[in-house]
Amino acid sequence: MWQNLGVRAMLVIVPLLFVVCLPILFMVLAYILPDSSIKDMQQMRILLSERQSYMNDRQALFYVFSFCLAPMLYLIVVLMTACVTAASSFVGEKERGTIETLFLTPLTTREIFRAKVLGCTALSVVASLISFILYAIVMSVGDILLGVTAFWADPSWAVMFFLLTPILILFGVLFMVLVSGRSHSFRESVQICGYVLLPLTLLYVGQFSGFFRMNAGHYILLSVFLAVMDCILWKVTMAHFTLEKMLG
Amino acid sequence: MNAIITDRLTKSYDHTTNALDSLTITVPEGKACALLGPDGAGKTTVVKLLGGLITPSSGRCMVMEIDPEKNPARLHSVCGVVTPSAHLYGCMTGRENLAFFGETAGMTASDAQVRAAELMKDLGIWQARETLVRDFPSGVMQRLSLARALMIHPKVLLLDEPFQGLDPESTQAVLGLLTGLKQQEGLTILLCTHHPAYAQLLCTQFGILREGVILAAGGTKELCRKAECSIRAGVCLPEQDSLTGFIKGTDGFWQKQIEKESDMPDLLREIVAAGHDVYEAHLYRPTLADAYTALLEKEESR
Repeated sequence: MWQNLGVRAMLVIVPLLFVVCLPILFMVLAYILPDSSIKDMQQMRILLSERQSYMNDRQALFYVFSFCLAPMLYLIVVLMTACVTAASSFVGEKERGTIETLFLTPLTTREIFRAKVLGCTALSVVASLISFILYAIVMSVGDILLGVTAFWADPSWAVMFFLLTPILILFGVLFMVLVSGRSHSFRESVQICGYVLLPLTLLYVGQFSGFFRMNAGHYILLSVFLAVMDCILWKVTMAHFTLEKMLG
Repeated sequence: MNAIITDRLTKSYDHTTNALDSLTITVPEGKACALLGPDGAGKTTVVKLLGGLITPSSGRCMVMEIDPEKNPARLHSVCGVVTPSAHLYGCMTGRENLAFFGETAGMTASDAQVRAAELMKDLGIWQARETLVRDFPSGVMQRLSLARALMIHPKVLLLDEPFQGLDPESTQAVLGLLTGLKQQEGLTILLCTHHPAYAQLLCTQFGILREGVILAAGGTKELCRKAECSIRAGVCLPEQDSLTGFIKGTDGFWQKQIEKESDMPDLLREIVAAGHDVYEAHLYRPTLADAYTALLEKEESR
C-alpha cells in the first residue's frame, strides 16, 4: 500500500494540509491582522457563547476556527485516511490481481476480511493519532500566542478523538469494502468516498451557519449512531465478501 | 479414490448463456488429465469452479472429497491452483512472495524459506530470488506462480494455461518437475490448455471442450478414433518425381492414408516396383493435436 504514490500522498499531504498548514495559516492571520481589518466580526461573534465574551476580535476569530472549522477538517482527515487505506487494500488488490491469489490460500474468507479491515483501521488510527498530535501542538501554540484556551478548554475534542475517531474510521473502511465490488480502480473508489464526506461537511456547514452548535453530547450521540451502523455494515460486508462479488 | 469429480457442473455468468454446460468428469488420484479447448471454451471456468473461486449455477464438484463451494479454505490446504489472473505482489521479491504464501498456509518462516528455495531452484528461477516481482519477465512470473501453488505440497494441482509466456527450455523444466511430482508424490493434475502437444507430454486422459461442452474424452488413441484420424504413410522422392493418389505435404513427403501400420511395407514395395526412387519413408501416426483440430473442425462445420 505504501509503495503507491497516490496513497502516500493522500496519507501524508492531505492530513498535513488540513491539520497543520490550514490551522497555522489561520493562527498567523489571526495574530498579524490589525483589528480594524477584521470585518463583520459581530456576525461571527453570534457563533460564540457567553463564556467567550471576553475575547477580542483576533481571539474570537481563532476560537471560531478552532470550534467550527477545525473539527470538520480533522474528521475529514480521519475519514479520508480510512477510505484511502481501504480502497488501496481492497480495490487496489483487485486492480493488481492479487486478491484472487489471496483467496487461493488456506485462509478463510472471514480471516482475510478481518485481517484487511483491522489492518486498514489500525493504519488509519495511527495516521489520525499523528494528525491529532500535530493539530494539538499547532493549536496549543496558537492558544499561547493569542492568549486563549480555544483548544484545551473544549471537551468535545476528547470525545471526538477517543470515541468518534475509531468508530468513524471503521465506518469509512467498511463503507469502502461495501462499494469495492462496484469499483474497477483505486481512483474510482476514492472518488466514491466523497459520498461519505458530504454528510460530514453538511453537518459543519450547519454549525458554521449558526443553526446549531456541536458539543460533546452531540459527538457521543453521533458515535453511538455510527457504532450501530458499524455493526450492521460489518455483518453485511462480511456476508458479501466473496471473490465473485469482489470481481463484479 | 477419484481426486476430482464433477457432476453436471454448469456455470452461467449472465443467466443467459452457459460458460460451462453439464460437465461430468472424474480424475483418479495420481493421474494427470487435460482439458483442451480454444479461448472461451470454459477451461478457466472449470479451474475456478474446482478451485472454489466461483460458485456453480447448478451441478456439483468435489476435489479430494472436499466441496470447493462450502470449504474453499480447507481445499486450498491440499490443492494448488494456477490461473493467469492470480498475480503475485509486485512490491515484494520472488522469495518474499513464496515465503508469504507459505506462511499463510501455516508454514513456519524458516520452513517457508527452505521450501521457496527448493522450488525456485527446481524451476530455474533461483537467480531472480532478490528481484522485485514487478520487474520479472512473463516466463519467470509464470514459473513463480507455479512455485506458489506448490509451496504447500499439494495433493491436487489445477493448472490454467501454465505454459503461457514460457520459452521451450522453461516449458521442459516445468514439464519435468510436474512429471516427477506425479510419479514420485502421486500428484493429481488437471491441466487446462490450448496446447495439445504439451498436454500429451504430461497427461494420459484428455477432454476436448468447446463453448462449455465436452466434445469428446479419452486417451489419445480413443480421441483419434472419434476424430476419424488415420495413419498416413509418407515417402520422400526425387524432386521431379510424383505419385498418383498421394498428396505432397509441407515437409516435402508424398502422403497417403493407410488402414494400419502393417500396410506400410506392401505400399513401399509397390512404389519401388513402379520404378520410383524412395529416399525416405515415414509413418505419420495421428497425434492428440490432429484429433483436437479434427474434432473442432467437425463441430464447427455442423
